[in-house]
Amino acid sequence: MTHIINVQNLTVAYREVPALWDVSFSIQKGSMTAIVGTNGAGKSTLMKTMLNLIQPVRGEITIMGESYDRIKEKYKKIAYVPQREAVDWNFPINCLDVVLMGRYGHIGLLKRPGKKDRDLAMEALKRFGMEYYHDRQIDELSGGQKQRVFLARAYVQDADLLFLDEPFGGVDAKTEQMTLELLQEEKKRGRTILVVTHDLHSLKKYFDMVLLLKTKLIASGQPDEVMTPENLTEAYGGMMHMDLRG
Amino acid sequence: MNIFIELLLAVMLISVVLAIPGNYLVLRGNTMTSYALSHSILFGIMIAFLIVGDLDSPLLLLGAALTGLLIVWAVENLSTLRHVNIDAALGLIYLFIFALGIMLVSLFASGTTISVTSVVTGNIALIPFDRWIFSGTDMGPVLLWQTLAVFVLSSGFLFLFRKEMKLITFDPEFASLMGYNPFFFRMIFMSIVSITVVTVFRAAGVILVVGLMIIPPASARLISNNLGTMILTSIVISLFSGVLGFMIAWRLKNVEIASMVIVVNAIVFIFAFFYHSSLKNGKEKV
Repeated sequence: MTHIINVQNLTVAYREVPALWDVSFSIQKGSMTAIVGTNGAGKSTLMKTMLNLIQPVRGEITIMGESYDRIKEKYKKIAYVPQREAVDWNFPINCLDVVLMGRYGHIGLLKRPGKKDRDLAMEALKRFGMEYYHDRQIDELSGGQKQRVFLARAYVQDADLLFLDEPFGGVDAKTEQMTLELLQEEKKRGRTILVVTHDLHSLKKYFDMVLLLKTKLIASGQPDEVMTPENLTEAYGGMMHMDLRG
Repeated sequence: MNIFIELLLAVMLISVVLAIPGNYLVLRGNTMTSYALSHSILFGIMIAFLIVGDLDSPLLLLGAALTGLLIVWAVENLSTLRHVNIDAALGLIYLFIFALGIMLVSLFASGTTISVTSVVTGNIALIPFDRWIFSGTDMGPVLLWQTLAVFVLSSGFLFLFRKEMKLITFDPEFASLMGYNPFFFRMIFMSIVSITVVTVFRAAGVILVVGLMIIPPASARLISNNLGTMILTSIVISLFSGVLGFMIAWRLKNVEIASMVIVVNAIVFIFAFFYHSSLKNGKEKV
């Protein structure tokens, strides 16, 4: 099995306070991995550090055998759906234009998106059931619809790796279900998927691997191995009394 | 050209050259930057004056532009820090530098054309007196040509890189993943803003610089729903308010042109605001 992502001894700190401490793991190509843990456990930090948006104090990250800053044409390799709070929703822009931004990496400096890019963007909106909203302002969308527009944007990037930061926060169950099904399809097409999530119920059904974080990596591996009562107590403290067998 | 036409052209150019970059400041919630820039210029001019010893030296403008860039750099760094209230920090910085500037003026430049009043309101009416004589021919007011040059530079950059500017304004993290360095584009953009402010500053003053960068784009945002339309709308609004304000001030004779232009802009904003709320209410009913 090939490891598409390798993280070794990663430590990240915000003003001397560690957000991630000595985290190491590898991810297999074509797998779907969940990053779980409490708020402040370092889930988003881990994702952003892997995307080179945050500089680590120590440690090494290689993606397809290269460190991030040496990967050429990243937009073809890595797509990213940020947390919804990260985007300015009052910006005057419609859905189609947001999705078109996924093509910007392919288009290059100074050039404009062409008809082919527009067709691809419309196709992506259709795939996520949003084609009727293509000329709608983004601030008029519901949480689930916003999420779908961002998934469509990641989709038109045509990337090998797909990073999603809390795609299910404030999203209805139907959208979550639909998103997970679509991610399964992407996985089948050989894409490697990483999802920061709070929904522990979906882990077993959809994910190949779980990273359980609490600044340190408490456990990693298949959902069954990771989601043991001991590990959960360590990650979440005494708060976890959920029935996770379902 | 007579004075009336020259002044009218100057007001129109200043209106457009400030409103265009203002759109990006308004969208990024960065309007405080225009306050900081316009208030720091006096300090830059005075420092350059103390070094050069000549109030007409072009080096004074360079000094002002450099101070502006320093401020912008400080602001950009502040905004990357966590737990810092940017509004408060910026307010502190620009008032501090403005106070230093005023102090330097009263210490070293009393009796010259630089005064605190001229910094606040500017003096549009003086534009026609500073002329560009090119090999014996009178080409018109210097400021008109300078503003035109800045307009070409600024709108040229924003037009060529409109795709990139939209991306880094809307979603900077995504931009950097796509290989467009947001910091790089932001610094170029802020340098252009700095040059623009320094150029029109002598004529426009703090009130007009800040007002024209913020009010027309803010009005335009209320009545347009994509970036391109917003910028065009802000240009139309700024031109309309500039011309109308100037005409009224010209008629009334004793009224400051800058203040009148801002008053008209603010009234247009109020209309845009009511139009926007009526649209919103209409939608909710449906």
